[in-house]
Amino acid sequence: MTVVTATSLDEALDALAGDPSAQLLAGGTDFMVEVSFAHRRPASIVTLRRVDELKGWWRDGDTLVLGAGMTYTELQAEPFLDVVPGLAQAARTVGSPQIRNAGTIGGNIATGSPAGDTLPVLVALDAVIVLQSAADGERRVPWNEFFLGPKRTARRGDELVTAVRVPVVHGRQEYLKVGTRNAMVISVAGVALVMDDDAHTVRVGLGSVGPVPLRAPAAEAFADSTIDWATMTIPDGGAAQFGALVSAAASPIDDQRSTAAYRRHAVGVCARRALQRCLS
Amino acid sequence: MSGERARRIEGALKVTGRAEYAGEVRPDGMLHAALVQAEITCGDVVGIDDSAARHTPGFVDQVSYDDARSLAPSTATALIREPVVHFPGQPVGLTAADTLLAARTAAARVRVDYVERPSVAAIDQALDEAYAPAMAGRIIGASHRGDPAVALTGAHLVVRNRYQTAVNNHHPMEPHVVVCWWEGEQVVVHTSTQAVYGTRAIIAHALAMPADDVRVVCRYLGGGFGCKGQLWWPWMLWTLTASKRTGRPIRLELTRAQMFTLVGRRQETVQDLAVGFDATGRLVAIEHDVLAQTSTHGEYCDTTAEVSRRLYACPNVRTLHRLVRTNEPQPIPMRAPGTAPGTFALESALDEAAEQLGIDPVELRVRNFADHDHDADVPWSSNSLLQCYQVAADRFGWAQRPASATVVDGRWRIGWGMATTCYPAHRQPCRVRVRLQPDGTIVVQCGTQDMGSGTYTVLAQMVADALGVPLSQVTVELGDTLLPEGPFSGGSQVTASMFPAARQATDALRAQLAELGMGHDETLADAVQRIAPDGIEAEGAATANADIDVRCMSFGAIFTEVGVDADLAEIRVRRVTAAFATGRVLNPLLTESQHIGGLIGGIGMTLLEQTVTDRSSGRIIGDNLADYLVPVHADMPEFDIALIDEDDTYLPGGVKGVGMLGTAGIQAAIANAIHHATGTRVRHLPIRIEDLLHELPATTPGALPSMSE
Ligand SMILES: Cc1cc2nc3c(=O)[nH]c(=O)nc-3n(C[C@H](O)[C@H](O)[C@H](O)COP(=O)(O)OP(=O)(O)OC[C@H]3O[C@@H](n4cnc5c(N)ncnc54)[C@H](O)[C@@H]3O)c2cc1C
Repeated sequence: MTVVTATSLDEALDALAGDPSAQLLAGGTDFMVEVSFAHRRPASIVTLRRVDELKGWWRDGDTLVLGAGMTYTELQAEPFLDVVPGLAQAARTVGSPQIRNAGTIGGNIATGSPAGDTLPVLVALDAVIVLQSAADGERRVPWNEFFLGPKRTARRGDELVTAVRVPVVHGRQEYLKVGTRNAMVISVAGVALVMDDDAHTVRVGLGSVGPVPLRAPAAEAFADSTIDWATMTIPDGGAAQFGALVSAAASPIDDQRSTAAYRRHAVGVCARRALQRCLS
Repeated sequence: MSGERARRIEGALKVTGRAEYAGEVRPDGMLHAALVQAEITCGDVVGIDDSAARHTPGFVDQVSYDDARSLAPSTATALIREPVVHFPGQPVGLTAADTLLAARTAAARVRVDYVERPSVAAIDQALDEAYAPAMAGRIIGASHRGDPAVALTGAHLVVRNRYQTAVNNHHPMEPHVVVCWWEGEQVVVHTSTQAVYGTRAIIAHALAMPADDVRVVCRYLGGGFGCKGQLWWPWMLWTLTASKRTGRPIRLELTRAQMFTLVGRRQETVQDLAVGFDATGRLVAIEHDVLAQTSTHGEYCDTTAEVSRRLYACPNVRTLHRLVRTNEPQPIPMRAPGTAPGTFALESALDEAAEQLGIDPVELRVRNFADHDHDADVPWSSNSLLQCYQVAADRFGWAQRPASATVVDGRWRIGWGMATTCYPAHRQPCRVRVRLQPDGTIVVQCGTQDMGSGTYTVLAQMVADALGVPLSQVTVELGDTLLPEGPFSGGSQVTASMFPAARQATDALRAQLAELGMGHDETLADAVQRIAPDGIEAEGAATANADIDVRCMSFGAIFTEVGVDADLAEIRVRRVTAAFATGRVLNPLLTESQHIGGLIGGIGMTLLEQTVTDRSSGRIIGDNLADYLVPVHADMPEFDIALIDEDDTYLPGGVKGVGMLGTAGIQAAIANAIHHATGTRVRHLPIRIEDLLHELPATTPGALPSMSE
């Protein structure tokens, strides 16, 4: 097995271009689980931990650029915590402190599990994934063209996820997750809610209730038009109706962790609660 | 009367990584071993072809049945001598290589031929073959007093239900490991065990060696909970064979997946229980029938129905244990064996009865208090259960218990429940050596081991107290068969077993010093310099208890508050208040910590832990700690532990065991609290969201409740 410890983006891209079978290793928190279960037998590895270009976050006009190497510990801490509070909340629900120190947002995106906890927030923010290869340079792919199926994405083998771009939004954000215990658990259902106080919109992202992270357009349209944006209130029964519409948007399955019916129910409850929190 | 709240004396060594665990012993030239595991569920091994394995770079040796034929036949060696597969994943051979990777690669290349036989992969597939074992643990398997059938017919109220508990696995953090090597005809075995002496005896018997030629060492343990109690994993003996043949040290460590199959499990139970009461709430009859799983190669039966025999006063009691053999791993004791599943049934049934009789659950138990052991018709050595109820109820605020299914806290529906727990107080033979060093410090030696529960500390305290020296002057040595023989760590017995032996040793030491002329106001340090400049030592030896005229047990009362999410049915244990009466408490800090750890294990059994098997192959599904859920910190409530000091003049030093108590009773307390919160009675473990789902509103649009929060 060969290991390339890349110290720059170019080095990582060249290594990928030179050996298309090479596999990228960031925090290793998904990667090593697959190795342990022999689902993955890498012959060559390119490690990303020393690549400075993937680290940190910055503003690009009205857009925030989050480096793929940002860890959950960074996402949940000051100052980022106040910038995208929904992501910070999602980050806090991930694994344990050890996992949050190692695991990265880039790894969560590249794995593309429907249960990935940052993904509902990213889709609610209409995130754009930034990919780069030695051959073709940079390309930007909107989330709905990036996530193709369970653990299937639009990323080509020679491409790196370098960053994810999200708009600067003013307003409350929430992430609610249901699991089979209170921490260290894969989500059974996850709901992200992003309020845009300027545009007067509500955006909802759903995790673990479909092959890819989902949005709930009917629920969003209902909320946009039902919320009284001057008083930030919603008429009686509105939040419940919103939750019911979110449930209707889900297309979950049964598995060993939960049932489709419960998942559908749970995203509705979480969506209602998230909206109530944002309006309180 | 309580002793000092001393912290673990070996704690600093552990948290700084200086405590050497068995798996960290790395002798020069050490080989790594891996197990070849059966791919079938049941059948015979008819051929093992390791020719491909032998070509693996780094391969050194392969051991299997043929190499173990010379071992002495016993239940321990049957699985490594006889080429019969009893359950999927059973080891059929072991490879040894220079690296772990090479050993595992070689193991994967060993070709095994089988003749398969039909299998039984779950107890309900062979119910007609259920049989009643003679013994359930240490007790007779069946019991009968009075005429329960007639009494039930005439009872004012009969609660008759089926209660079920799941298979659990022990899962200590530290997996089983052995590092062994030969020194001539002698073998040194470092292994993670709850019984250095027990392991030595099994090895010596299997290899027909004098026991003194076998040295077993285990200085620290990363938990056990019963799965390291005896040599449950005979495949360890193959490492000794391979080490002898290759002349090199060998290390075998089980994987987490193997910890699901190779080192025992808590057996699942199906319990049919009938309890009858008169109009005043007095028990008139109990019938408790237990059906449980055992393996096709061994017999094990928890003492599940024992609680029904003696916890309460009842004239008519019949209990029966039955087993079904399946091609699944062998069950063995797991923390609170018997009492955990048994109290779940009995204490749930009492709660159901209390509600139907309109009597407070605590009052119902008080009315049925057993002032002596009705099963054996002997007195208790001590029984402070009534005080436990009172203290725990007061601290919990039980008197304010609201009506069922009425309390809401935000999204949570709140419920309160309680239950009783108990565990026998046993002792084993034990020897302790105490040595006064020339510099006045004390060394104490005992061939028991510390599971992490505080054995080092409490032994040091016993000796420091008896000799009147500060704890810092005492060094304790455990976990080595070169030390005087001590008890295995299990059954909540170690502290009680050590106490009389340690007391004898310190008394003997004092007597020797007095004989040599130690002055009355002289310190030990001064005396030893003056009269025994080379130091001086003494031993104490105590026997096991053989109580016939008296019954010794620890008791406790557990109260809990749970929340059930009104919409999502998530279950949270919000607080636990418990009072435990365990004789004289030698170290309240360690004792509380044992109770809290026990309760956490019980919470896991109640709400999370379940080993799932595939019903056609008997294979474990989800044999990892992401699928087999144990509680994490975020699942933990506040614990309020009350220690009821008892003056038990029958037991040496008044000491009873503590370790098992918290792991029983809590299951029913939680189930009872869930019923109180929601009105739903769940009679199986674990209790999960799905069990309370029908309580939820439908999800169709419009049917959801309006914004009520
Ligand atoms: C105990 C435990 C608990 C966990 N809990 C959660 C949880 O609660 N919620 C949750 O969402 N996840 C959880 N995870 C999964 C995991 O931590 C996350 O998905 C994490 O974000 C993965 O990031 P990583 O940096 O560790 O990725 P790695 O494991 O290093 O890589 C994951 C995959 O992404 C690829 N990759 C990584 N970086 C890039 C990149 N820059 N460009 C292209 N491809 C890349 C890798 O090749 C690999 O295929 C848990 C994992 C463990 C082991």
